[in-house]
Amino acid sequence: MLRLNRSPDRLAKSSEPHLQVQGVTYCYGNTAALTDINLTLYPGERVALIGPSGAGKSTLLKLLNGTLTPTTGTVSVLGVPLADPNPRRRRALQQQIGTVYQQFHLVENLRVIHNVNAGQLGRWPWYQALWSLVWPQGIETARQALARVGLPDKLYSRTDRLSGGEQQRVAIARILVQDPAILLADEPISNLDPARSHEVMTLLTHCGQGKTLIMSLHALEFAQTYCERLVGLREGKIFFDGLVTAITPQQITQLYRLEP
Amino acid sequence: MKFPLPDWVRPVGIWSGVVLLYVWASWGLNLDLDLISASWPYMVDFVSRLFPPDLTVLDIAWRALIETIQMSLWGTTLGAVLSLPVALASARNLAPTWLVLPANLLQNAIRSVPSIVLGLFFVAATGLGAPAGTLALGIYSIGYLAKFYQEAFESVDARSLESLRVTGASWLQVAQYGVLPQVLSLVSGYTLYMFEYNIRAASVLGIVGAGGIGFELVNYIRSFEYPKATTMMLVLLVVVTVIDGISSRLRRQLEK
Ligand SMILES: Nc1ncnc2c1ncn2[C@@H]1O[C@H](COP(=O)(O)OP(=O)(O)OP(=O)(O)O)[C@@H](O)[C@H]1O
Ligand SMILES: [Mg+2]
Repeated sequence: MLRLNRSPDRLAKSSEPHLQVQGVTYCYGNTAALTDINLTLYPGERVALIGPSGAGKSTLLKLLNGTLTPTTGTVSVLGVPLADPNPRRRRALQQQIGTVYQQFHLVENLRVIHNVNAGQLGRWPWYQALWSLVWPQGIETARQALARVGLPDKLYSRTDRLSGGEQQRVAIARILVQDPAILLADEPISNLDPARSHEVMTLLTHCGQGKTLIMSLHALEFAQTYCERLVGLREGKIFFDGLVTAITPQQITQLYRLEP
Repeated sequence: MKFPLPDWVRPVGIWSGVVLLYVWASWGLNLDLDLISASWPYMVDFVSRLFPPDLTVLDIAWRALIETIQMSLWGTTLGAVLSLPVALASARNLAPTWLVLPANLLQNAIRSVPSIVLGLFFVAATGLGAPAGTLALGIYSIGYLAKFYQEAFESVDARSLESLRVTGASWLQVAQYGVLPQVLSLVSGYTLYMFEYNIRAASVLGIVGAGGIGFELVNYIRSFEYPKATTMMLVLLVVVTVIDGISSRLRRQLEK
């Protein structure tokens, strides 16, 4: 019953963009890192954000998850502006966005299960979250998530005792538990060897099925293999935006060229 | 526009500054070598009258000592509980800017009140004895613990906090999952250290009648019963050493 009631609504929603960036400029102090960015992401899209160092990829992703607020312009998530002055509503929106970082950014001296459970924090009241640190909650959910990333027996290990590749998979397990509609990843594989990189990319694209995925990548071949849309960023502006098949090698060369 | 200075200017400038500072400070001391040599016999006399210690007052020492430890335990705990919110409000990475400045000002204000003055204040409020000392220690501890805690909070890895915040976690949850685990060992280590320090501070508070072993110590010195005062100091020495040993072992455990 409930499903039947909800499905038309969800179908209607699915044609709406998941993420919408409109006329966004961002300045660190007086220097603009991004100027007049317009970008629309539809549900289920897999987008690679590429471009030279300093182009503004990390800045754009931070604007998309609400860590930074645009100097001008708006970022909307699921049709709602992210810069909601009401913290409760903003947090509810942030629950729908999962972020994976290059340096993992886990809390190193917590056990793995708590780092995974951090994905639940948006849903748990504070006393349940606190109690879970003493008496772990949601063990089954965490165990399943860890099993999906291939770390079923690391539930109670200390996070800083894991290797870089394992920590990255813990970060992905956190996102699995969070179960957001949109997945952001900032250079998720630049610290991993090629085999682990393929593993992580497969995980991200698989667990991101049905979700909108946007990740910044330095490795072009990964971008072309795992994503269907490329957004090239150069000096804070969108240089190109199109399907992988439509972007020419000349455009790529131009994107990374050294002279202005 | 900056213009380049030769390399030697900075070190020479800094060192002459340091020398000047010491010369200036020595003026205030009125150093007088004759006075020092003339005072030597008095020092020897004072020290010789401290020995041998009079061990007949050991039981009094023991009781006063237990009171001192009890005062320190409660005083430190009170200080720790009060320091947490002050430190949270002072931490630049956790509190809003408008709160950081007044909270730091409060810390400095508390730190600049000598423990003796706090002791006098609470003796006036609650009368002679241990309650006054405990309260004085509690407030005195805030000045130091809040600063230590604040520094522990500010050393927390900001990126791990960011990664929690973007999942939609509230401020309180970021504190639970990000700050707490990263500061727990430092904060408990500092608190233990403060407990240890307060046992010594409590004996100073005895001077103004705020209970504990310092009270007995001062009484014996006032009535010229130096050997008995020595016993008090010896007992204090033993206890401070033992507690220092225990707490440094505990702190090492915490750091693991
Ligand atoms: N916190 C900051 N304060 C001031 N300037 C910053 C800050 N972070 C980034 N910038 C500047 O903003 C611009 C874009 O930086 P950003 O980190 O978004 O680039 P990026 O594309 O992610 O680069 P990389 O590929 O090296 O990670 C750069 O010129 C950088 O110097
Ligand atoms: Mg970057």
